[in-house]
Amino acid sequence: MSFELPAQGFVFWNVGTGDSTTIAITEGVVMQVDLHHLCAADDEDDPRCAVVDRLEECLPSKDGNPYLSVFALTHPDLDHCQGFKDLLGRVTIGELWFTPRVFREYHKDLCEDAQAFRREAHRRLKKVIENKGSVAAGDRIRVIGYDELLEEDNYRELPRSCFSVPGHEVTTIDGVDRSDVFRAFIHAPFKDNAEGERNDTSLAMQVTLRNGDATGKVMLLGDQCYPTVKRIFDLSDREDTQWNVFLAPHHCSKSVMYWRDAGEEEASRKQDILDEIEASSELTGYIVSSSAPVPASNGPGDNPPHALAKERYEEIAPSGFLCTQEHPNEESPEPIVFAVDEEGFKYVEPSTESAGEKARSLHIAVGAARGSNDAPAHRVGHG
Amino acid sequence: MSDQGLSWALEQLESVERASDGLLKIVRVHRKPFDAYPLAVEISLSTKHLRYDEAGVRLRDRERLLLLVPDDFPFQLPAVGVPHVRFAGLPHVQWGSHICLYLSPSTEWNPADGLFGFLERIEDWLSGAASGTLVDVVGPIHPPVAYTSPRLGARAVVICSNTPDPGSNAWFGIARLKERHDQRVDVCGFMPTSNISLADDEIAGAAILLSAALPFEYPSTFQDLVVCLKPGGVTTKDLLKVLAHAAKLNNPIYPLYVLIGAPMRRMPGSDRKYQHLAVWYLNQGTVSAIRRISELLDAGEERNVDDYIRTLEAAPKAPIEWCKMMEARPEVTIRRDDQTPMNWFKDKCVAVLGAGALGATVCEFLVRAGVKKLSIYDRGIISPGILVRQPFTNGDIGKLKVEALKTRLKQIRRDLEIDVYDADVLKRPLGLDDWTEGADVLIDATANTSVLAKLESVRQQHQTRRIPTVSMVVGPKAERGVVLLSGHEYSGGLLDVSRKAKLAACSTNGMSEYLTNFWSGNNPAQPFQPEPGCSESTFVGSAADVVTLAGMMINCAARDLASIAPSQASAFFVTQPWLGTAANSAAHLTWERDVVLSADASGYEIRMEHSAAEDLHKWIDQGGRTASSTDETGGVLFGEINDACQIAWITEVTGPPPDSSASPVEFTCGTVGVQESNEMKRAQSKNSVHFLGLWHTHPDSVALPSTIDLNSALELLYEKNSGLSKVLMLISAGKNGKGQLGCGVFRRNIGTTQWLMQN
Repeated sequence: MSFELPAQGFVFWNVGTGDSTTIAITEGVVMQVDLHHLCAADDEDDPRCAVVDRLEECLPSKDGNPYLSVFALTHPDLDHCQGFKDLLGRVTIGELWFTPRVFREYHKDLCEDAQAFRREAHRRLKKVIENKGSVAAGDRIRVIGYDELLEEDNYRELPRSCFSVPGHEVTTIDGVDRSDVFRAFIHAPFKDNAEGERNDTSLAMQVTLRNGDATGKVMLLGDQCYPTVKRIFDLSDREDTQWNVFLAPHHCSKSVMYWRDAGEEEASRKQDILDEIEASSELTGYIVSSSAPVPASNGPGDNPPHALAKERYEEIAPSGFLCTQEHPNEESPEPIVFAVDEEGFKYVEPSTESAGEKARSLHIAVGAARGSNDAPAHRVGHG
Repeated sequence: MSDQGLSWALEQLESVERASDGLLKIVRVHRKPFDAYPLAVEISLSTKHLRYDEAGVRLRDRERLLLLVPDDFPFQLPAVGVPHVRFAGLPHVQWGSHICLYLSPSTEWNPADGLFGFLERIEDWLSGAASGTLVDVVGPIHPPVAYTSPRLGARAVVICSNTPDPGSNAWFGIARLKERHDQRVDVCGFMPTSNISLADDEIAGAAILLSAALPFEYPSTFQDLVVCLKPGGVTTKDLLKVLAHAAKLNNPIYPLYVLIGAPMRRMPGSDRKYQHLAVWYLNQGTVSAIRRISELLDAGEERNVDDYIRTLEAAPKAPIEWCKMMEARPEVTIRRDDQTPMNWFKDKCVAVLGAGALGATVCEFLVRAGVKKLSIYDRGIISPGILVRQPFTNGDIGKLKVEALKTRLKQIRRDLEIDVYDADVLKRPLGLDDWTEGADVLIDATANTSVLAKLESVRQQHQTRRIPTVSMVVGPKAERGVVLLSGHEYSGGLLDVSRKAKLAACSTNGMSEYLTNFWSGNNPAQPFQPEPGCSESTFVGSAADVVTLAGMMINCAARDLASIAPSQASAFFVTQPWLGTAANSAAHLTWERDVVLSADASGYEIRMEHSAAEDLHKWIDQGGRTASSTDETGGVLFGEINDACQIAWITEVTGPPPDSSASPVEFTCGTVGVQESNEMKRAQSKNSVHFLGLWHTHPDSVALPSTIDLNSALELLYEKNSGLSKVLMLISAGKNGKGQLGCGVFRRNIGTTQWLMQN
């Protein structure tokens, strides 16, 4: 089935529990944030999409090849970079965005695709340094965040123009100023998190697309948890945290709003962050979980997606909560597409008919709980 | 809360949660969060299954709600709130975040169903919000809340006057207040500060009416109030100026009431925003300080005032004491009797004859129904015995009924215009040229046949101003009542309607008891004298009997006053409910106006019922077909004559008896069967339909009596053995009765009264 990217907008692919977000910036300019390409998805019965194949089909073409202006990797976990090696072979990538953490990992701790990413990043870094920043598309990079590593000899010569830290805004894409249509505001990784858990070092940013006076804003916070998410909202101006789409961090993990503080025996609900996220929403605001269908409940120790997180998000999203693998239904999901045009930000209805939710209501549940006074239909024996 | 109630509430919630497939989730249970609500449960409800319409609001996919379970659950119903103000302004949402799910908890809440029914209501509300079908016409639009100060006790301010429209700016002025007693102050009007006139018994209040809304909870401190008023264009100085202005008008010992209004009320079906008022109470100490500002202002010491204001604004948070407020403004209240039959009486001027068991009770009903003016006529004095069923008190004994009633009714409604007359109703109002005395409707509750007859007579004689008239009477045991209504264009008055009601009772199965109760003539079965030998006879009945019948009868009258045509008359027959439905078989009757040959003051008026007129034409028509068309024809007239009122009612017309003879110049009316027929009609109608006279035709001449006709009349009156003292003659001139009609009453020893002609 053919799929077309919106002229300007955001696409969240149904790639199971993993992130794959495509941002169509303007004609011929597309950015990809993370990738989760599953070989199993080539199977026709698998409801997850083989995202590299789909990208290859729908990306703009440059010199006869599919062309991606930017690939941004939030952190080098498998569920964020799976299929990168494949992508690199099939698609031309103008610029790579990544955190210094990419170079920090022990080789054996990285999956094959992460290693491929690191190799490519390294290759480009070297070239950029050699050429004092003056490189062509295909060799460009943007390193985001602090790290002492960058002060070592191998990296020290990296031009400042290729480097961004939290609080910076980025409007240059693949060597071209796109400030009329694009702005990425960098929230994380924070300097003091550089050596923490890999999830805590995720790239986090607000991406704004502009079409005249109209805007569409998306908050991409990688796999961050409560302390960092809270810190982001506490430190930032409201305009830098506003969202039309809030991608539920860490594939709808409850660690965003259920957290065990020091001295606490168990995690408790953090209404403060829920209130902050809600307060930052634009009038039209969706929360997206890029994950497998959210189960009705979880057992202890279950990985995301978490039912509790979904419930809390549903309570604060003005326009609703969407799960990539349930959109519009679990059997044949479609990518979630949001477009930005001169009228504003809008959700693009999927072309297929919704299978519809199970007919249910509180009345039915109350009826079942209340019970009936029908006579029994079956005989029972007494001894 | 009993442990049992608490456990049951939770048990119910958990059972719904289990059955709901994730739709309802219990998020957290709070024990003893509030004194009145020892249990609060946060629940999260999915709304994805709800249907959305354009008119609806977009809900969150899950909505969080806080269920508050009260002390005495399930006998007391729970409350529900939301942790946000997104629902503010939607129907049934109070104070921004509370959802009111029961319009009438005392009848709608089912303790046996506990939280189950409550949860269904929550879903119904959410569903209505999503589809935009929440209806707000059933209830008031909830205004914001101003928490009243417990220190002020029961002190209440009653807003009786509509507020001025502040337009696009804030309005500053003076409220005219009247202290009714130490717990009640009425707001009787508003006036601008530029034009003040207070009556001696009035005190001044300050009034600030804003053009923009205030928060859903009114501020509780002076500082917060100042902050709230600023966006509406009211500075602290403006506020203090109007306070000072009002304080200066009052005695220094008075407290000050400050009315603060904001456009936050709507009436169902209207988009207009009305002022919601809250009343701030300032004690004497504060008023003294305010008066000091007034002095500074008068002395032109603006700078000192500014210093004072700065001190005030920076002062520790002085609490604001809000008074209990009661709404009586017509613009924001709906009468509890709206759209009931009694609504017809609202703003009407009503005259009531008789202030006894029926009249006094009906007067109270009328006053509560909102009559503009009441005129009551009665010359009775209150005796001990009547307290059994008349709305007077022991202290009233010995007083005139009308005076005691006036006092009582004015206590019910201060604005009532009331005139009372210690008068014989036959003289006033019925002896006056304008017997209506300006009333829009007259109710006769005297149960007096003379009054009924006089009413008929004056209505006929003084035709300058006619109004609808109503008669009410109860039977000898207060088991039945009859209400008669004569529309102002109807052909007769209440006596006429009474006669028609009687005839209907005579001819209708199952109505004999009404006949016995109300039309048994001068011989009631068992006359009742409460003080044997000394008092007038009256009916037997309790206060409950009387109030029941009076209520039914005034309602019936109101209904017909609103619904029947002015040219119609009607009667309602009512009974106490235990008498069964058979006795109600002719509960409501209406009549069209008769064919009338009007007389002047000295003559008899002839009223012929429509059925009789139709019969007359039929007989004439039949005569024309069976005999030569030039032959005269004729027959017999049955009905009743009332000499006191000078009315002759022609109720039935029969054709020529078999022994009649006819020629082009003469018709001789036979007698075969006429006597028998007369006896039968007399018996059946209890003497209200009997032989009245004769009719005949003049096919080729005018409808004036010929010599032969005059001789015949004399013959009837003076013939040996004739008992007739009056005889009616009716002549129909022209072909087939489609010409002139002439009629006159001939009386023995007096002659004809007046010959009436009608084309």
